[in-house]
Amino acid sequence: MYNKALILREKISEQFEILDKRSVKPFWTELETEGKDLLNWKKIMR
Amino acid sequence: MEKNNEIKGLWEESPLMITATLDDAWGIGLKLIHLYADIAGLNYIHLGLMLTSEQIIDECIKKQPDILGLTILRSDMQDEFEKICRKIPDKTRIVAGGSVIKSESEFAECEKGYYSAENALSFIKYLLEFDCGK
Repeated sequence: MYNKALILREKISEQFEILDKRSVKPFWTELETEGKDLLNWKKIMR
Repeated sequence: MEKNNEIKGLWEESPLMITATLDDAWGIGLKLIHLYADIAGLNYIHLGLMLTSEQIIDECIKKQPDILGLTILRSDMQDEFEKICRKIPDKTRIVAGGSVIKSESEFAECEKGYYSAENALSFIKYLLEFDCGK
């Protein structure tokens, strides 16, 4: 079975790269929205 | 009951983080830190806002966290921060955020070192690279 922790790491890394490469750094409200989306994704993956 | 295939987090055994602020009565930054800690599967205990260095040190000695997440807004908190650096357990690594951390590259003398989390993105980067040895 593919390690789910690895999938989680890849998903977080992917989101981090997208946010980090933006020319304008995201506001905390955007980070909160992204974070909630990630948390929901994690719940679905369970 | 926990399912076998549940995603608990990035680590086999979840590290423990303690969070607090020294001089921030709002703590909005910590809300984000807690959100991303939940995503990464980091256990955390929020001690509270506007705590003294003694309260934070005592809790770190009692709970032996892997990470201490601190928000610091004012530069006159330097002495308090340095006291925390000296007195918390060796195993506890410090992640500091807040306006003073953003504005001063080396805010305080801290022999054991600390990670400057300028924003939530820096914290995510730290978590992705964090190895607690568990």
